[in-house]
Amino acid sequence: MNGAAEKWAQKVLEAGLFISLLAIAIGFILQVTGKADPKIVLRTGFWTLLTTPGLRVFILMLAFLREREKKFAWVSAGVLLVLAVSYFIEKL
Amino acid sequence: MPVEFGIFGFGIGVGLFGAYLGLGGGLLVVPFLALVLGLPAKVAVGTSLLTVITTSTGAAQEYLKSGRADVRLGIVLELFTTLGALTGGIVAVFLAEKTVFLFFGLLLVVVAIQMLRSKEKPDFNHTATTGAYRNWGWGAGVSSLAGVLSGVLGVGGGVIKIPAMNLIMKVPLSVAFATSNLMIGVTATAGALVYFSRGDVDLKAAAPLVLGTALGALIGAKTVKKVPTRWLRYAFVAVLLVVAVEMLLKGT
Repeated sequence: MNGAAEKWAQKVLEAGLFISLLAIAIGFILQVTGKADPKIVLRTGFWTLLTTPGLRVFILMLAFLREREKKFAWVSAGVLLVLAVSYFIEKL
Repeated sequence: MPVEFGIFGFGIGVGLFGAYLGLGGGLLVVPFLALVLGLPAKVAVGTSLLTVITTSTGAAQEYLKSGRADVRLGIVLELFTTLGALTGGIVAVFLAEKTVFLFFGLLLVVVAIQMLRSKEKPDFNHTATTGAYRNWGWGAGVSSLAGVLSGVLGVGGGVIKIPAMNLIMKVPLSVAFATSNLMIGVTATAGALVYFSRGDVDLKAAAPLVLGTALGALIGAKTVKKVPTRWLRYAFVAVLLVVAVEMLLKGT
């Protein structure tokens, strides 16, 4: 990788964190003022936060594939699989 | 004053300490939620993991930008930390509240000793260069253990990963520090997803905590050079030991 993947991964983290914190901040204001139920906004914010690191792994997986570094691409896919299992395991 | 503002203020403190001393925050957040707010240990752990993801994601951006984090090393070890965190998240359901407190208290004592023995700050002259590292098997094993710790206790696990990468795998300390931070977000996510889908997260406490931590980390990153971290470190060790005693008492 020539640094482009790291740059994309960094942008994903930056954007994900910004969007999630924005939603959580709106939810927090609703929570404190009591003007509306903050649950949906808060859940959206926290889901964005929870998906951001996984999205970073996905970006890196694409970069590894592009660079034909198949070993690292497979490992990235493995990490994504573990994350998916982490969510679904309670539902099984 | 609503309790949310108190949590927000505490979050700022956690973010500041984290930025000054290179910590994820879980070490302070779990005891605060469990001992001060009285949340069940499992909910405290699940909620803490959200804070850990926030601090790690914020720090990881910087390390990726500067090229200090080794993405190849990180992705390989992440496979083991996430597996560990998933296991930890599942095992935590079967652990008694007292056991969690006991383990957490012991972890705090270990961290306090390590902080007293460690150098002031890692030397940030190295950049990531995969290839020369050794003992990948041991690295994978220790990473799995750090993952379990994260899933059970709601911490980042850097306290185990960084010395392991440096001493066992021969990764330069600064690269180990940056790569560990990069990995913590994914590791904590694996654990947090288990807690989140089980409903073991207090969103109303998490919101001010996450926002406060993010703000504290931002202020901390801008002021870190002006703060005498040596004395801060001693103060932090003292806090850790007091909290450790509280946790151990609750665990016995």
